[in-house]
This record gives sequence, C-alpha cells and structure tokens, in this order.
Amino acid sequence: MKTEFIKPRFTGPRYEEHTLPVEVARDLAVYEELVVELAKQLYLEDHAGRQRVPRGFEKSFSLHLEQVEEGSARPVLAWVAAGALARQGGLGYFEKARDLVSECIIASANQQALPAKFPKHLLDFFNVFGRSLREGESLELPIPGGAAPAVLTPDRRKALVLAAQKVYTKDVELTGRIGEADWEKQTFRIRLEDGTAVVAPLPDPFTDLARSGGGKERTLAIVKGVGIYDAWDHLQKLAETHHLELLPNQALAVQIEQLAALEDGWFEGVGQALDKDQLAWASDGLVSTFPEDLPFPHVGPSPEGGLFLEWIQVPWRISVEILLPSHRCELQATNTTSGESVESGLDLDQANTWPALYAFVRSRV
Amino acid sequence: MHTATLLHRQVHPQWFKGGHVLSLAFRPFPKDNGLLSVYDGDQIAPEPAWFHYTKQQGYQSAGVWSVTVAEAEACQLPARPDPKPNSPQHALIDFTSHAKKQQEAKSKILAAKAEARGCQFAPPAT
Repeated sequence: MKTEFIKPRFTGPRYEEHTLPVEVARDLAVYEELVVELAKQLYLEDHAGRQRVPRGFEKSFSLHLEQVEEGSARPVLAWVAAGALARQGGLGYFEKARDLVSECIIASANQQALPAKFPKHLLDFFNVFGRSLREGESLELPIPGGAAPAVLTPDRRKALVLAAQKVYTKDVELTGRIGEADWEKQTFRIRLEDGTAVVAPLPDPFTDLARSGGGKERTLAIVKGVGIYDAWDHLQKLAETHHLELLPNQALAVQIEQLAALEDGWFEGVGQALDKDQLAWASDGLVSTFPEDLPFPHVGPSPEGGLFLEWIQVPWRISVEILLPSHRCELQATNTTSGESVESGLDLDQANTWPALYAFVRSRV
Repeated sequence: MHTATLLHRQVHPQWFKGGHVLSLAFRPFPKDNGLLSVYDGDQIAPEPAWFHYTKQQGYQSAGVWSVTVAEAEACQLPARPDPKPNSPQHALIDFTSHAKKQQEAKSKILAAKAEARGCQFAPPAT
C-alpha cells in the first residue's frame, strides 16, 4: 500500500534545476527516523499502561522517494506500508508526528515555546535533519489545510538544536511546601501543589524560616524570586530567592477566613454574620497554636455568630464552639452510639487555654 | 407518621463540610424554641422537599439528610406532623424536654444517624 505522506520543498540556488543533491537523502532518512520516534512517543503517551508500541509499529512505516517535482525541488515522499497496522492507517500516529515536527519548526521560527508534546531529547534529530541546508536555502514542510508551511533554515535548525539547552529567566511566585534544605549548598526544595519540586537558593536571611517550615505538610511557603525556564516554558529551578513567607496551618486558616464573607440572614434569614475582627482573633489563635498531630476540624458558623469546629471520629463527635465576642469556648464530646457525652468550658482570654482545648479533643480523636 | 417514617432535614451549605454533615444541621436554635423543622417523609420525597425549601421558601440547602421517627424517639425526641399553610408536609422533632447541652449531644447523634444513611437528595452541580 502506498500513499503520499509529505511533499517537502527545497529552495535555493542548488535546487533550481529541480534536482536533489545526493547529500539531502541523509536529511530525509533522518526525517523518517524522527517521525517514527515521535509517533512512538505519541502512542505511548496515549497508552499510559504500555511499556512499548505494538509489534510491527515501526516496520509499518517506511518512506520512499517517489519522484522530485518542480518548484524548486519537491521530493514526493510516499508512505509504503504493510501489515496490520498499515491497514489501520498506522493508528494515525505517523501523521500526528509529521504535523508535530512542523509545529515545532513554526514555534521555533516564531520564538514561541515548543509544543509540549514534542520531547526534548528528539531535538537532537535536528543535528542531522536539515544539516545539508546552506546559507540562503530552506526546507518547507507543508501544513495540512493550506496554512503557511513550516520553514527550516540553517539558523532555525541551530535554534532548535540549542533549544534543548536553552533557558531564560523571569520573575516567579511559587506556593508550595518546603521539602528539604541543603545547608552546605545553601538551597532548599519547594514542593508545588502539582507534585513537582523546584530547587531554590537559600540566602542567609531565610535560613531560620526554611528550618522552621521544612518538612511541615501543613505549612505553606510562598517564594518569590527569579525562575529559570526551558524552551517549553517549564520551570527548571530558581536562580534567585527574594522573598520567603510561611503560612502555618493554611488549610485551616482558609476554612475559617471564608466565614467572614457571610452576611446577616445567611441562615433562614436569621443567621448572624460573624464579626470580622473577632473571627480574625479566633483564626490567629487557632492557626498559630494548632498541633501538628491533630487532624483539622470541619469548620462552620453557628447561627448566633460563633465559630463552630467539629471533629468526626466514629463513634465520637467532638465539637468546640467559640462564642464571639465573649471568647467563651464550649466543648462537647458525644459518643453517637452509646449516647455518652462529656462537656467542658474554657475562657480563651485566660493564659494557656488553647492547649487545654486541644487536649480535650485529642482524648477522643 | 410511623416509626419508619423518614424525617427530611435540609442542610445548609455551611454545615456540609468535607463530605460530612455538621451536627449544627440537626440542632434547634433559639428561634426554634426547641422544635427542629423537618419534612414528613410520608408526605413528601426528599427531592420535592429540597425544591420546596430552596425555590419556594428561598433558603439555601446543600441537600437532604434524613432520620427515622424511631431514631429520633430512641434519643427521647418525639416527632409529630406540624402542617403549615405554606408547608403542609412540615413536621417537628421535639427537643423541648431536654436542656441545651443535652440538645447539642442529641443533635450529634441525629447527624451521625443521618450521615450513616447517606444523602437522600443532592442538587445537581451547577
């Protein structure tokens, strides 16, 4: 089975006779290899559970130089395929790979980030593909649908090869958790919400902060500085750290702070809004003292404008109700199976009452 | 109304946190005078009860959780129909014979029972 795959166009003085110098054959052979390797990558990306492509995948793809057309020189590359995969149209991955090579060249020409699907290591193919091009010559790869073609020139080929190593810097603000610090290298690692980790310099003024926040799952770190990005716009590391801020127990703080948005009447027309200053006082008290070993409570407002915390540890339900503005705290633990219930009360304006609150909860959680 | 009758309670979004129903949702407040409003499950299903509460009365509800009359009575909380002109399916769980702290403890038991039964109706995500 034979189908036209692509019809590249070589331009420049050497191609005006509508012939191809023999050395160009090497470029076309590498183009074929690049398409195959890229198609394999695309297939494996779509089939996360697979280690390798189906048997016969590579062999099903073979490019043949069918003829050279005019204008300046346009070799017609035909896909000569055999086997089961060929009958399935190569699963479409070779065509996708062909188009992605062209997109990659266009992105480079426009000084844009390279397509995310194009793997960095395959840029090495541009060390050979297009190497036969001389100054003033170009290789155009047509784009399906009649859009402007991807144009490979010696300079663009060089840019693509260098893109694998190319980086640039820009200001960055990151939010994550401090994983570990390397005191000798004066760096620390920040683990971002998406699971990736980035290494940043650790200047002396931030050493104590990094030490206190390191390894604490509940402490959010905000880092501002200068990031180093690759050609794909992926952050590689930080070149400079200008700002480090720690937000302890941030998930709890967020739960409490969102209650400040409630307005009078929030519950059946009669729920009282929580006093924002009082809520901030309660939030500061909890967030600054909350023990690492205690699960966070579920947080809600009481209709009387108080702050209600509840831990649910079947069969126990433990509630802490902070009355605002009195700062009186009512505690109750109830076994929802037996009905047993224990109560206590605290005045949170008294010294050392926050630890007593946590001790009450911890005895049933 | 009989012992197996479900008593449907509307749960305010602020009291449905992390997949749990806070006990506040089953606690009578001063405005209630110890009488917790529910819908009589013999008269109305959870979904129309939710629509009545949110669309006709204009209140907020994250969904409907329910206890049976028997579960309420096991907590010494009698239940009875209390039809209103604008809500003929209205019913009550009566906490009035219990002190405030006891009411709070019983609200925890009802919330646990309702949560164990599972949400009876949740509005479609918007």
